[in-house]
Amino acid sequence: MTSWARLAGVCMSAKPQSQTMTVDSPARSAIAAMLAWVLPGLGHWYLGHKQRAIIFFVTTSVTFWAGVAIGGVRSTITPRDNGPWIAAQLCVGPQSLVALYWSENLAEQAIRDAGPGQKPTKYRASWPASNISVVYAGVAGLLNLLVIIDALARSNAPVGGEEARGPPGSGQERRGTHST
Amino acid sequence: MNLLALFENDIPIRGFMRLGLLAPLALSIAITYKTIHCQRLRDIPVASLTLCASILAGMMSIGVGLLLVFRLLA
Repeated sequence: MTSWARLAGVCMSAKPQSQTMTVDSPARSAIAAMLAWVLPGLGHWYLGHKQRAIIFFVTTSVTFWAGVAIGGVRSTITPRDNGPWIAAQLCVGPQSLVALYWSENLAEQAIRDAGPGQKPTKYRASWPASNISVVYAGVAGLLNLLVIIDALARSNAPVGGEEARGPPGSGQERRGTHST
Repeated sequence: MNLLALFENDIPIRGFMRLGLLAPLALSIAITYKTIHCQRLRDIPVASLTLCASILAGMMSIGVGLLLVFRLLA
């Protein structure tokens, strides 16, 4: 390659400082991780990876609520019955808290409906749906945990250029790419 | 209110459909994994479907293998 071509390549790849955002701050990472927990994909949206954000949101949310629909909220989100799975389910974020509140509310309603001195009938899914539904909701939470870790990893990379950069840790990250 | 009732009670699913619930779960895992790792977004659909098929084939193979072991030991 001639020296002129090499120089042209260097000029083409050089970007004005204003077009790149190489903010490497713990605050940005913390915000991205927190947003990723609050709403699946929101952390990636904050970092500029909008298409990936939409995919993460749809996949995680549909998986979680599909699990709740399969087994019913009362047998899917129950800390007393499902043990450690609730820790995985809570990784989905406030959606799981809404489902937990709904489940507890239905249980209290069953106690009220039973009347004083009467033991309420404990809700059980009509088939082993609770096993499958708990796994669905738990896997959704664990997938969001992966999404949160990915948001943390990407928060130290330049904003934008998601089509051009490789996944974190691949050694294919390219800095100074254009913003999408 | 009908939408809320969908989530309050379980959905009665019988027989082979129970096993079929493995496919959407495998697909969601594959989509999330490939969305994280694919360099280009246009590669995600094919890569996800390939990984999903691999997961299902692997799970079925394990199931068949365990069934054979059970039959041999019984």
